Amino acid sequence: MKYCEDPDVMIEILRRLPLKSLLRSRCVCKWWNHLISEPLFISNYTLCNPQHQVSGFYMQKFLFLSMNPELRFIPCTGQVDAAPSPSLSFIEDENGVCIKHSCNGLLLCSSFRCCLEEERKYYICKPTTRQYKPLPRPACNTVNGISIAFDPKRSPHYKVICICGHDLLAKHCQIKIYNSYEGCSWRDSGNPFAVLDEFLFNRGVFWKGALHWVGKGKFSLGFDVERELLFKTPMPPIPEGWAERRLGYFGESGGHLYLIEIYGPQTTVFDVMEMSGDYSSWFVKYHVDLSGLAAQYPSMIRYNVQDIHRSVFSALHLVHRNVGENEEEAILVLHIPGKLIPYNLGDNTLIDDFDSSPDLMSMEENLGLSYRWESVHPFSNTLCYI
Amino acid sequence: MKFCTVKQYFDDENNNNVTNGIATTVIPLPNKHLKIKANNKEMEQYEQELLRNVMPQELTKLILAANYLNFKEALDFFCRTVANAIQNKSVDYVRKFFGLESDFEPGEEEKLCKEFAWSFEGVDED
Repeated sequence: MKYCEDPDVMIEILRRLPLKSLLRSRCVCKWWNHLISEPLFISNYTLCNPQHQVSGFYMQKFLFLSMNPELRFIPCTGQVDAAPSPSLSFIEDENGVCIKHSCNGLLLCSSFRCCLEEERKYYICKPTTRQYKPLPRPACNTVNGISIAFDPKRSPHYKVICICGHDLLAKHCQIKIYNSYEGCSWRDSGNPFAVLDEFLFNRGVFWKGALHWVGKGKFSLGFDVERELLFKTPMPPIPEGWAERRLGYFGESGGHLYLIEIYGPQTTVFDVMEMSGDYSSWFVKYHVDLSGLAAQYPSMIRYNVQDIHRSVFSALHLVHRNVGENEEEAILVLHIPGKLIPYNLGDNTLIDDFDSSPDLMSMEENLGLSYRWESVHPFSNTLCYI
Repeated sequence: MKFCTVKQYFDDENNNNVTNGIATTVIPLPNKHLKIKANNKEMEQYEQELLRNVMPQELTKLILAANYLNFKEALDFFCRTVANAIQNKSVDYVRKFFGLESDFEPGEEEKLCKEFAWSFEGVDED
């Protein structure tokens, strides 16, 4: 006999529970499981429990002879204590596990050390609560890229988009979609399409309801996940004298899509470009000059035998941080030998109060750069639990 | 003013939401609250006393009463008391506390417990 039948009262009690107790309470009975899974309850709980919010990025390094890649998590904003454990060992896979993609608190991981594509397993994982779920295999011989499309503010369900190499048509790809709502298998989306340029299908970025893959040629590709439409967006012209595009960063932050290109091994100057809302063009949002930084950190400049110098740095991650009411600052996390340096794009200064424990920040200085932007996976849990 | 619903209660004879016993606990609460508002320790003691002397089903009735009387501070206090009482306790303990029974299909409960394995770390012994 229930002592309390009133759902409003039950919600008043449940929303005051700490996170672990709340999740455990889902096992009490069907009624509680339903109350706690309601999207409105989840978003209210998140609002009232900001101590679980954290935003930062994973750094993944593939080590020779190691079953698992080395993972580190660098928190940038929110609560350091809420940072997910950087180990994915809770996912049981005899071939080890690596991160393939990340989107709004969900990670897409796959088996790491397996020889055949058909042995490779894929998992969707929530690192903060250590839950994971294996996905069915995409059933194709070549996976060029696999990405999550997830917007928890719009729906509790996610889609996984796989760009498969076409088995019969050379230089063609086929998009396959897995929908967590429908649950059991992948289905083809649209017709096979020709891919004549190089696109970074393994570095998809979810922005404005579409997955974006940056291209090394004249344009990038976008895929409207809702309408299942593939579209092209222009890339900035490659500067004169350069045969190839030099990508330095491609990612999303604060609702904007950003691109950095760095031309020249000696340059310490580059632009952070932002995509216009109508997809028509890229415009320069920030201009960065790191020559001052180079003066402060001599390890940034390396000289070779001919005494020709090159600048050793990479842009790892762009993040927006709240600094008071309705004000945000844009921070670019730079990697120079042995260090991570947060750089304030708004006023071109270095940030001292970066909430990172010192041992995460210091790395082997004489090994040059351990990470580039492609080794980084952003992470932010917009909802406490999903 | 907070207590306009109280007057309504006394006028309304067929009121099932608030019994006399409950009214005697809820209504003096604001005075007590004001007296010991600055002193968290006393409030904690009162909370412990409440949990010891009042059965869970009475406690939920207190919450319903506070809810009906639109008495936000009392609602918050009683809900927090209950939440503190059940946090870190096992699923069985919580079921007994609220008089609930597991109505999951066979295997469904196990599946949920496995999915939220992380949340079972550090649970108090019954």
